[in-house]
Amino acid sequence: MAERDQAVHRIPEVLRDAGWTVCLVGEEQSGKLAQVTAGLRRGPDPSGSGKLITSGFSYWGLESTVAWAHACNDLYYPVMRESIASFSRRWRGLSERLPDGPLHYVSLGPGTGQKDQALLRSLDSRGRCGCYIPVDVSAEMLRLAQREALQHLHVPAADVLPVQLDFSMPANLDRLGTLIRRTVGSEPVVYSLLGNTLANFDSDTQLLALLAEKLLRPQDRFLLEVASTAGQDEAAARAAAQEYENSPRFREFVTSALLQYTDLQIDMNSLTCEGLVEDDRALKIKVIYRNRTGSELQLTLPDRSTVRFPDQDTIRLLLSRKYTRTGLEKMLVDARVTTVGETHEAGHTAFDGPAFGMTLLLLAPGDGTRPAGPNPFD
Amino acid sequence: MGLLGRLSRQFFAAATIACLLAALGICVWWLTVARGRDDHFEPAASGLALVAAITGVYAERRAAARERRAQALYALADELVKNTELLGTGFAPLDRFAPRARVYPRLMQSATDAALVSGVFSEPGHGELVALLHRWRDAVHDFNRRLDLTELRTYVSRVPPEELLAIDEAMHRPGGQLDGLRRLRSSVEELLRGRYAEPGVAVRLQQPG
Ligand SMILES: C[S@@+](CC[C@H](N)C(=O)[O-])C[C@H]1O[C@@H](n2cnc3c(N)ncnc32)[C@H](O)[C@@H]1O
Repeated sequence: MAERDQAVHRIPEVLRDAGWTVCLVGEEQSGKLAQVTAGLRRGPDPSGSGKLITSGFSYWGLESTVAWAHACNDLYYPVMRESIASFSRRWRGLSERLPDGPLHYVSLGPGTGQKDQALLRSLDSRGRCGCYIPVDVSAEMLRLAQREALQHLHVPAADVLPVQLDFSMPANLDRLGTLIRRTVGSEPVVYSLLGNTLANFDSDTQLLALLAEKLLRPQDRFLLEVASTAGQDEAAARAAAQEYENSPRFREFVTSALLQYTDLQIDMNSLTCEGLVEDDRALKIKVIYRNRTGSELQLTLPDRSTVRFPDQDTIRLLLSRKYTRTGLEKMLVDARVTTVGETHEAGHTAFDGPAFGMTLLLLAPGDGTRPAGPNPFD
Repeated sequence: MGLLGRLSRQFFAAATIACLLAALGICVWWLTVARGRDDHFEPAASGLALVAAITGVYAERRAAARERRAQALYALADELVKNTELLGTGFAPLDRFAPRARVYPRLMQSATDAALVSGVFSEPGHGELVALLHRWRDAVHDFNRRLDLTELRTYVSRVPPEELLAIDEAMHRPGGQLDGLRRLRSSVEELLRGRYAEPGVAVRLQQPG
């Protein structure tokens, strides 16, 4: 036992050699594989609500990671590229609203790490950088993000603690919360969930509420980035879907999971993006793979079992949303967080198209209920 | 009050001027009917005295009123500039991370009060300004009283930070008290700049708050 302790203690020294990174793996990866197969085994549904690949698995694995990094730089997929390019400017508007003193940074789903770099750089330039803890389902993504995020920064390797785990599971969040508190004590932490990642989850509000409840202490802040829409009619929904459909690299990215977990012969023409209006809260975009071969196919899954994939049946590869103002506000109230700062960036949409944008919010915990005392200004 | 008490200032002014004009008319007539050379002096002297009285009374009164009105306008302009500054920077929102009870500045209203009670705008033609000043004064009074209550509440008992923030937010809410005051202030400024922009007033309004 003593021997092993010592080995762990030697890690900071090992990390001085730039080739090594540590990664804490927070859950059984084989269990994850069972989750993917369960999603793909669901019954036939031609409307896109049957078989699916849930959020984290679109990015899990090396192929998906590489495909995602390519999609982020695709000229035909400007949403992500512009969101990354404008991030440091948008972040600057909010950074004054952070608590004083050193700050630790926990990035939930760091992706390619470019935004983390902008954020860490701004903290570093003021000498306020604490620990950097990127959290992702994908180990490959973590390594990529870490390398990108820490370029030319003065964060000691021993202050960087990548964690591989699925943050959409309550039990994982309990353990992540404990790990973070043990690492940073009572010092404030900034969490981030950027790049409209929240919109990838079926129960987005519940996820945000869960993250806030399990992770946020009064001294902590949460940086949330979501895509937004001014219009919420059918035309806007179609335009939103179009945005995804145009990019070949994005198509490669969404199908990379299919390539990994099934033996499907992928035909890019079978990929469609559907835009729907989700009440008054959001435009919902489903990226769907449809069997258009005219005959039933068999899918072989990673556990070698086979699943029927009848003609016109679908696999939902990705879910995304663009939130309306009311939708976003309601979600924040339901998740019991309050907005401390906000910047809004109008997107690149053509002048005659619907106005899509990106909203960056700095949130603090708070149940949103009003205090009961008399208020002379009410 | 008797009948005299109920008659307006305009009535007395008109009566005085009418009497003086009648006397002047008599003097002119007297001049035409006077015979001897010496007899002309008396109606001429009286006539001149009456002309002096008519112009003097009327013009002096008008000049004095204008003077007082200008003074009132200068004071209003100075007060407006100070209030502009207060409404601009004096009520900065609380620091969300360290909300603390604070003493708020009070908006000024003494020049407005003085302008209203002095009656310098009581002549016809100033109705809009007077009405606006009354609204502004009431709003300032109401706001200052709420500030009293806020300070009383936040200093006398220990108030949790969320409550301080809630009060502050309610004060800064769009369409709330501060917003209303800012709008009223702008209307006063607009009126002063538009209809009352005599040189002195304009110069004062130009001063940065
Ligand atoms: C849309 S990308 C955002 C990338 C980056 N934050 C940005 O804004 O450019 C989503 C990221 O979240 C990660 N992710 C998605 N679902 C996850 C989950 N359930 N648990 C952990 N990481 C997840 C993905 O691996 C990916 O890195």
